[in-house]
Amino acid sequence: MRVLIIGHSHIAAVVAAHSMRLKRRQIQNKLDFRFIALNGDQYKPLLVDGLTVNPTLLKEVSDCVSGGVDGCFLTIGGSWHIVLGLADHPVKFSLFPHDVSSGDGRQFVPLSLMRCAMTEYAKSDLTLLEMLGELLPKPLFFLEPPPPVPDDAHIMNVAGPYREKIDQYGIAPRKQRLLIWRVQSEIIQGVCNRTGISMVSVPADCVDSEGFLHPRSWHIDPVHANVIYGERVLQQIERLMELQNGNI
Amino acid sequence: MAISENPYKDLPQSSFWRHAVANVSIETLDPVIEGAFTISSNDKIASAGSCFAQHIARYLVLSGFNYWVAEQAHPMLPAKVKKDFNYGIYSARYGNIYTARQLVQLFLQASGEFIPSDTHWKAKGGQGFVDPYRPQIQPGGFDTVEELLADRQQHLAAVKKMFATCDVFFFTLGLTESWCNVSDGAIYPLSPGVAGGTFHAEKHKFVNFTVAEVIADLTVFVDLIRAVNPSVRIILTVSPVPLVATAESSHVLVSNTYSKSVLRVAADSVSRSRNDVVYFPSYEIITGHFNRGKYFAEDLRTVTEEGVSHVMRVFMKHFANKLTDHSVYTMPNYSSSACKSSSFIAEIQKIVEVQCDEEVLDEQ
Repeated sequence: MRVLIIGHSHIAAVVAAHSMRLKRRQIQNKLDFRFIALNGDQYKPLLVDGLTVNPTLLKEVSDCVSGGVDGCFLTIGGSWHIVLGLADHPVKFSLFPHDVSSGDGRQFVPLSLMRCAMTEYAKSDLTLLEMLGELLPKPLFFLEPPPPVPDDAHIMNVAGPYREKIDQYGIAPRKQRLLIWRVQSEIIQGVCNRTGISMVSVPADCVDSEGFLHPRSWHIDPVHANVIYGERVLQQIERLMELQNGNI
Repeated sequence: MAISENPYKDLPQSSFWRHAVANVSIETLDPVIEGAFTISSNDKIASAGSCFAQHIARYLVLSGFNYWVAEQAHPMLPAKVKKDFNYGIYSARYGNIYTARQLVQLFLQASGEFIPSDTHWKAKGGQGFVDPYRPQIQPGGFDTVEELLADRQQHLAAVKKMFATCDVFFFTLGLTESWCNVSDGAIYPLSPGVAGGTFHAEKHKFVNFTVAEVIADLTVFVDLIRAVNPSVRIILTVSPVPLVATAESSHVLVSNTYSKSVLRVAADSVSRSRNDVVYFPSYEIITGHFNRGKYFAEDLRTVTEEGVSHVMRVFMKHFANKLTDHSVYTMPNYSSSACKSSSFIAEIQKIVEVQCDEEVLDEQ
């Protein structure tokens, strides 16, 4: 069975897990994976005039599809929760109503406002998702991006290019980081529902009891998940494809 | 007085219809004799009122006045979202304030002296909750009642600050007809059931304020704001936008005349009884038949941009003569936090993009 996986940077953990399998010669399954990493220069801009899928990408996707695919998986965007919720904002805000009465000085931002703000920022990613949703054959899935890391110390250790902003403004409160990630998932879920795409939740054993990324899936940056996470996603994909083909 | 003389003999041309109206070109008609005070570019101007007040606020911003928005949207929000959620339309996110009673109650809510019994409504046709006292500021409503109450608390704190520290307060009277809660008299800007909530005949009541009531409410408001902000100057206008509908049994045209007449008399009365309260005749400029109806659009209700421009031209002439250059409209001064924020989001976005590119390249 051929599986096509198209996505932004969160695809990297899956690609890494797949490479690991190849190195270990663990390809005893029937799936033939094909990856299209959208961050490649050849696909920029992903949307021409904000309305049309990049012709190079379109051709590559069409070639893959015409060669026959049994399942497609997308992971588009998915880092907007980092843009809006990793480093604390210079004008500190809170998404939690009780923070207003506690008088901690944070500006209260209702969730519906955050939802609209993120939708606006992520507009081109969501448009691309919708377009690919119409273009690609079913079964079609969206891989939910990994949740945020709960641990401030780990974030500081792997802050990399985010260090300057974090040093300047601090890390956003942990419960807020998780809530913003949930808002992102809710927005993506909405597009998936409209377009007939099934959303695949983060692998259950990759999250802790609160819903954050489990330490075993932490990566060397504060945004992405690691190869262990990628392997779990590969296993999810295998199970879903088996389900599709009635093998379970 | 000699027999050949009369009280009109020495009056200025502005006192005579033929000179001041009939023989004046439409665009140059100026019904203001003199501004009671001038507004400097440092004065903080706040505004509220019915929908025509939105035009005034917009022009004040564009004209380089220090139009003060006490309740700013969080600077991370994109401009479109700020606008959709009614930030910056007025000095705080109260939406349209149609009646003088509503204005008084806003002041009292902000100072904690009035807590209406009705706390929230279910959004019309939606899942969310609507603030009964500003039912249209949050498209789709708030997700939860807790969010609504927190946002209202934040809003009222901004309103309180605005009343206490503005230098000039601009209020446009819009309506005399309104709906109120029978139990505590709380005024709703829209009837329950229109943008949210449910109308109950035993709980909600129609009111149509008399001229005495509007004068009393306006006077109370002036005294309340002066108690916390003694030097505030107040400009009153009457919205020329006709009633969209009347709940009286009379024809809407007749109800409109009643409503605007009451508001016009009340504004005049209060401007005579209190210092530094002036009436500005935008109503006359838009509705006066000297303009042959050209300041209304096809629906005979929407004020044209040309009409608003005439109003603001006259306003600038009489109230803004300390400003340096009225002909050059400048864009609003964005606060430093807003600039800092937009660059903050853009910088983080850039880092994410670069880092995410590298992440994928690593795995190729």
